[in-house]
Amino acid sequence: MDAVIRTEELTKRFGDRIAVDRINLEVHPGEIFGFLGPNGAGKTTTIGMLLGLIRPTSGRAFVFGCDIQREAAAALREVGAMIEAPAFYPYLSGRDNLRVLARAAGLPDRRVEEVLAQVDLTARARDRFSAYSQGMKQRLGIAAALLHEPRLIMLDEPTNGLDPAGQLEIRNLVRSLSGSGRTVFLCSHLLHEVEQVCQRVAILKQGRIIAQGEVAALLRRGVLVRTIGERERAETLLRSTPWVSRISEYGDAFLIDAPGDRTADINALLTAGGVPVAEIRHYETSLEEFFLEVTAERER
Amino acid sequence: MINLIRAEWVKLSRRPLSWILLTIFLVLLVVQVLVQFALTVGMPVRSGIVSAQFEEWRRGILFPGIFATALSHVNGLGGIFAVIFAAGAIGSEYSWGTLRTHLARDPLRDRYLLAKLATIMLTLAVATLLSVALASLLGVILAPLLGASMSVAPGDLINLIVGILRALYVLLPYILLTAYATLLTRSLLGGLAVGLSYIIVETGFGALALLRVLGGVWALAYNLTIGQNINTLTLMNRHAFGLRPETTAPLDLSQLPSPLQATLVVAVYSALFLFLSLRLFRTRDIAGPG
Repeated sequence: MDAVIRTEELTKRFGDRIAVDRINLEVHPGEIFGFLGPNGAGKTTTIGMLLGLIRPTSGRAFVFGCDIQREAAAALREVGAMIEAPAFYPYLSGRDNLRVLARAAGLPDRRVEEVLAQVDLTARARDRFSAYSQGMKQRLGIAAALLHEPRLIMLDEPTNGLDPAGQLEIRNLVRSLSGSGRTVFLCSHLLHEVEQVCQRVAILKQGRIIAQGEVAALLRRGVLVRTIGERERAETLLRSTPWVSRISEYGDAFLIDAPGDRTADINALLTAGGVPVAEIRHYETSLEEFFLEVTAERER
Repeated sequence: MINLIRAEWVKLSRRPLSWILLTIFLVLLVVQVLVQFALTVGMPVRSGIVSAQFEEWRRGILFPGIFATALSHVNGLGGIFAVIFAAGAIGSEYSWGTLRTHLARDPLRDRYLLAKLATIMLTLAVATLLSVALASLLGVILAPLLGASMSVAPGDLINLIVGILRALYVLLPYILLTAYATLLTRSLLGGLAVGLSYIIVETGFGALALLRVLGGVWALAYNLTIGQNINTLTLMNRHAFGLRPETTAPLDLSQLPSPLQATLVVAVYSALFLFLSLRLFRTRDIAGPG
């Protein structure tokens, strides 16, 4: 499967500061890929390099197999992007702003009306961009990204400044884009947002990728067991069962990679083995907990 | 390229700043013509240099001299307006962040910048045509009041076309210098400051003219400045329509560069500023607004 986005040791320095440090990314066709990180982690710089706006200090970036430094026009032909805050001409209406972009790309005005409808902005299309609410600006930014029917859409913090209803609306829109076969590269610092819509994520911190993979694989799901003493015997008993794939210490408890419906079996096993159980329950980390965990590990 | 120019045209023609600048520019042209008219009809008969000056003003508001008045307005005050317009057209793309919106879709930066510069020149051409049209209208109104005819020879119309092209050519190095400064500073104000400063230094304070007094290499250097060569070209526009500013102003024609040198020097400056602008724009990071 050819990657839609692939980077090789991509690096950007601004003077002495390393904004992006040797990152290797791979985004597959049709997926919603979350690019996570706190503000200032290097997400926007990475998007800038993927879009040819910022020149890498070293390393390479490929979009649809084309080297962005050498074949930018071919690489970006099927890419739509909204970077940072939606940027448009304040004195033009939403519709005219899209028409400017459509004319530059040689697209018919009909396409402008279609994307306005897609993001539910038709009723306010005649209003000036400067009079738009933050949510309307975000939606216009997404409409602009969709204008030329790209196969890859890069959205940088698309729910910034939106109320919960607006955030839900954007999340649904992102899901529908992916449903229509497009690849979405979603940049965000909102972990719950990424967790809800993305299949795979990369977590960036201080310019470096500290975790990358499927959301389901990164999140720990299993059974949490806290015993009263007898930890060694408990561990031996648990390791003897075929449905326990991994045991790790979690504070004063164990975190066991096992199906959630095995809770009663684990309890019976330990009790029969003479290990008193203080607590046993199904456990699932959120992306937020995972993020805090991996970023804390990096700091140690 | 044509698509980009069409898009740029929508942006510039819908922008309030364009209309504000055009309105002020045309109002100032009307004021200039009316002041010349008032001075011509309201003053008693004079003799000598004063009489020549009044006669020059009178010719400047009658056909075909009114064309020269319009074109010298374009190359005079119009230069300042053109610099403001160009700095606004390029610098606002940085301040609004719209540059990254465009370049993320179409990464061919040379093409984008050339389309923008072409559209700026196209807009200035429209402004020049409007000023010529307005001046002509004023000429039609004022000629009967001064008891003059409104005859325009076919040769005057050819001169007018050449004159319009020459007036736009004269604006070119200032526009490109402003473009370069705006790209360098990534700001409207930066471009404006450099563009206007150069015009002010050249015309307002006459600081560069001091070089000529020093003679030798300095005089040669002065003769290679933009302003000195542009003086030759703007004077050609006045002469083409029967005006003789050298009869009323301390202007030594022998000190001016030849038309050929003037044309070449303006071309070299324009090419240099265009090359620097393209090279800078091609290699620079477009990092966020501002």
